[in-house]
Amino acid sequence: MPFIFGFSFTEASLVKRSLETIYGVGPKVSQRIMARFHIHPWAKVGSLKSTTLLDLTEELASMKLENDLRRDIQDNIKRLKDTGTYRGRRHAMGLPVRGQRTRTQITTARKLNRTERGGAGRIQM
Amino acid sequence: MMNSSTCLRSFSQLSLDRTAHASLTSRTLLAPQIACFSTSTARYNQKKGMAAAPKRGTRTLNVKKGRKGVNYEMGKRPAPGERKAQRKRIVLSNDNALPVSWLRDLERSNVLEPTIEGQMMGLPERVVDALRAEEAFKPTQGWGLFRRPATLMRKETVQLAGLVKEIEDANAQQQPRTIRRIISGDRMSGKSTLLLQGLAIAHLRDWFVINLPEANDITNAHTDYAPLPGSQPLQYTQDTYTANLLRQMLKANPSILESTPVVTDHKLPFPLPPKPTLKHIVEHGMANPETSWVCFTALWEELSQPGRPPILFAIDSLAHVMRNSEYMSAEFKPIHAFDLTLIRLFVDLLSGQKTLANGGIILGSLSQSNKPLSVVLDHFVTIAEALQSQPAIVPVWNPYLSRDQRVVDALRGLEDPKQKDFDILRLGGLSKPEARAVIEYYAESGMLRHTVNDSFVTEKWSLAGMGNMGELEKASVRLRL
Amino acid sequence: MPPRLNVLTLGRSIPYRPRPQAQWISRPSIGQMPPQVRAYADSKDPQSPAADRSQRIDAQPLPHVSEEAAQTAEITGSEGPDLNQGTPVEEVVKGDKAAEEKLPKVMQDALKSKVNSAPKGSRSYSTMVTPTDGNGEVDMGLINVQPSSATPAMPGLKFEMPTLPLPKDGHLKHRYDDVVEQVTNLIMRHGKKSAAQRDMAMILEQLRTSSTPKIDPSRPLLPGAPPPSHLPHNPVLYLTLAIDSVAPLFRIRSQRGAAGGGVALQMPVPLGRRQRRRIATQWILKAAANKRQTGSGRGSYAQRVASELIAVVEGKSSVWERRGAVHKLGVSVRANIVLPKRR
Repeated sequence: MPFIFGFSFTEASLVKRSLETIYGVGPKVSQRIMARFHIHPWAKVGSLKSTTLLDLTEELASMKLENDLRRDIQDNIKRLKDTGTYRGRRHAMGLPVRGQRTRTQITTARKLNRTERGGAGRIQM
Repeated sequence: MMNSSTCLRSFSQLSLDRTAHASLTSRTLLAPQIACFSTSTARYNQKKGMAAAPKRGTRTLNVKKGRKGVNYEMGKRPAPGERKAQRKRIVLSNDNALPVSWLRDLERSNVLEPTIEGQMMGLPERVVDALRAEEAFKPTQGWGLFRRPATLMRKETVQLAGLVKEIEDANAQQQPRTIRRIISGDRMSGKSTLLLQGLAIAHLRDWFVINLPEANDITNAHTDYAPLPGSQPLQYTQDTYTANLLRQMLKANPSILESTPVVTDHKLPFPLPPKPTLKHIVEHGMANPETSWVCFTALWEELSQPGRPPILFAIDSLAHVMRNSEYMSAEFKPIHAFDLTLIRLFVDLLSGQKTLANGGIILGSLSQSNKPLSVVLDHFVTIAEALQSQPAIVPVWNPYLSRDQRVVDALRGLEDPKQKDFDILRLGGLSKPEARAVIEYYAESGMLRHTVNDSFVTEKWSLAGMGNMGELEKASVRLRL
Repeated sequence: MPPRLNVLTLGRSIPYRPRPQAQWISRPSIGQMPPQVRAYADSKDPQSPAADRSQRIDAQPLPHVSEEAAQTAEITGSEGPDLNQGTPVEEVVKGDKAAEEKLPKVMQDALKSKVNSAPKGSRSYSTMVTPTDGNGEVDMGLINVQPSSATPAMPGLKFEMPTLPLPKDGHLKHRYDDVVEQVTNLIMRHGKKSAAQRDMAMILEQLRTSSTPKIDPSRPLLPGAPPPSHLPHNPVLYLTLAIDSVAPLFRIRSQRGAAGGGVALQMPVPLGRRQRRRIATQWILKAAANKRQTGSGRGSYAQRVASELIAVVEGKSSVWERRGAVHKLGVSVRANIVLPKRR
């Protein structure tokens, strides 16, 4: 079971998919990271050398990911709320923040706009 | 008169409805007026809200989700890769087909004879194994219908054999030549098959054969890549692909590799046994993919030594090479296909920057079904075609199109009518005698149940768009017209 | 007189301009008789070579604006532009050698080039794939039909009577065998006939390359069936034999109320040939769909159907039990048939 950034992945899983399980790494970021270490898009985790795995971990460690990123975002929201802004209030209420209509189609806002944005994650904060 | 009565009735019904729901009047008034006639007489005969209940016992619409009640045959799940292997499986014989009595085999002595033009010739066992090893057979081609693989020696095949003869004659006079050809033609005109025939001829003449079976597989970023240290500008090696290529080369050219000794010191990063042959280098490259490119270059240098056989280097679906690959550099810029080492080698040879020390042929085949847009390649191919047919009128480049300068530099030789060594090989339709030979082979194999006479051949020939080989097969052997 | 439409006169004076042709449909019928059989792609006029399409009437440029206007005016009866006024000099001096020599050099060059070169707008090189034969005509490869000089024996016919019977696959829309066509339509889903035809072709290909079936004597095929070794050579026959052998002879109809007391009365109803085949095909396709998919890609459905057909011929298929059940039930309920009374 190879470890990347402290998480273990099965050998048969794609590197791209594995990286994207990390909070803060999406398709674009994973592409760039993989291009940086010359990993082709269809590489499996099992095919990586241990040095590459270490390089990956090191690269990810230099980025703001997982709980750091969550905390950052939550702090931003908290600041808005504490200063008593409209945006902070909308976040607290789970409603659209940027003036969208609320009659229909606010499922995304309900899902995302909350003070505890990003959830607790795989590692408890 | 019946119409007017129903019309009246429906109209009165409408007004009745409206009075019944007085509260809704304002809304109904806003609604667009319904036309006062109807083509269905029965509609207002029933009372509203009393749609006839379905008869007892009759089936009503079943809108259950899922496929309940379907019990699949349970069994072992296919292993990973098994399904793909089945899809890509290549069948080269059909036991039901009858053996063709008059079918002669291609041999070392008769491949270069121009007299075999227009005849069906069988491929000998040794060549079939080699071709299968280098994936020259494609699953969509109709090999699986006949007793054993056989091909038609068409006009273009004989031209290709003529090139092989030219190279051998030049070698005999100690003046090695490198001839480069790009095979072009319509869809299903037999480009890949001509490539295969070229490979077969080279095998029979004991050339060293390297075949890149599908350019798409090299550039579509499905195998690993790594920067080649010390290269300027940076090139990339594909270790797994190269190791696999070495395996295919060993299977296809076993006798040459086994019998040829290593004569120069390549400073390989691994020890070689005493009295090494080329096979040892190749086997090491196969087993250790990280050294595969080093092994390949060592092998290439060995083959460039004097006295070694000529080389046929071939690639299919050339258009995939003439563009950026799917690989990304460390700076997240697309890597041009020319920066992949294998393709760099091929393109250098194709453009004439490098030549083969012992002579040989560089053969690229276009594809019309799996082809990415490569404006430059298309342009140069049309130029070369025009130069062959009508040298006075040659298309000019549309200055408003952007072009890939590296590809232009590589293909520039096609523009130059003086460069006889770099040209295209245009595949047209079969002639009628050729079509007749093929159809007679089909009939003799029992795959075509019809008497072969002139009118039948002509009919199929014209159905096949003036003798397009693939369409001819479709029209006469395949069961879908 | 209306002002002349001469907007494009300057630009138009150099290109080749044919004489206006008011009537181009009627052609002089002197000379040799046109052949009776003519391919669609052939030229109507046998005199002009078929390959040189530039000579055709439809490839020639439109008449000049003013000439067109004059023609239109002539048809409508009104007064059109005067063609004599401002007609280009080349046309005026045309045929007059002395005058031609005195023309400006530009016009002389234009006249010379016009004689030799093809008109603009047509390719001078052929775009045909296949080379033409020696006469420059495209060999369309159509069967060497000799135009029959003799008039047809039957009065009122333009051509000879076709030889009867007509070939079975001679019609574009009925080129497949009946069974193949029916099975294709039953395979078809969502109206995608082309996909169904592709599947059908792959099924037949599978049958053709499969090994000789071993016939189970307890599940006899149709009497008069060819020996099993012949079947793979004729996949259509293979398919037909499999379907016809397993097709039920009748279906069970449940008639409500005939037995009284709400119980349905079952009785066998004989089926027609097409109906029998339809039911058998549906059974086979159902059995094939329930098989587990082994491969991937396009051919896997066809492969399953083909293996089911082979299983039918070898007597291993579950479809035989289905047929047996129907027949058994039919035998037991045949007493329910009420035949009309004999007088």
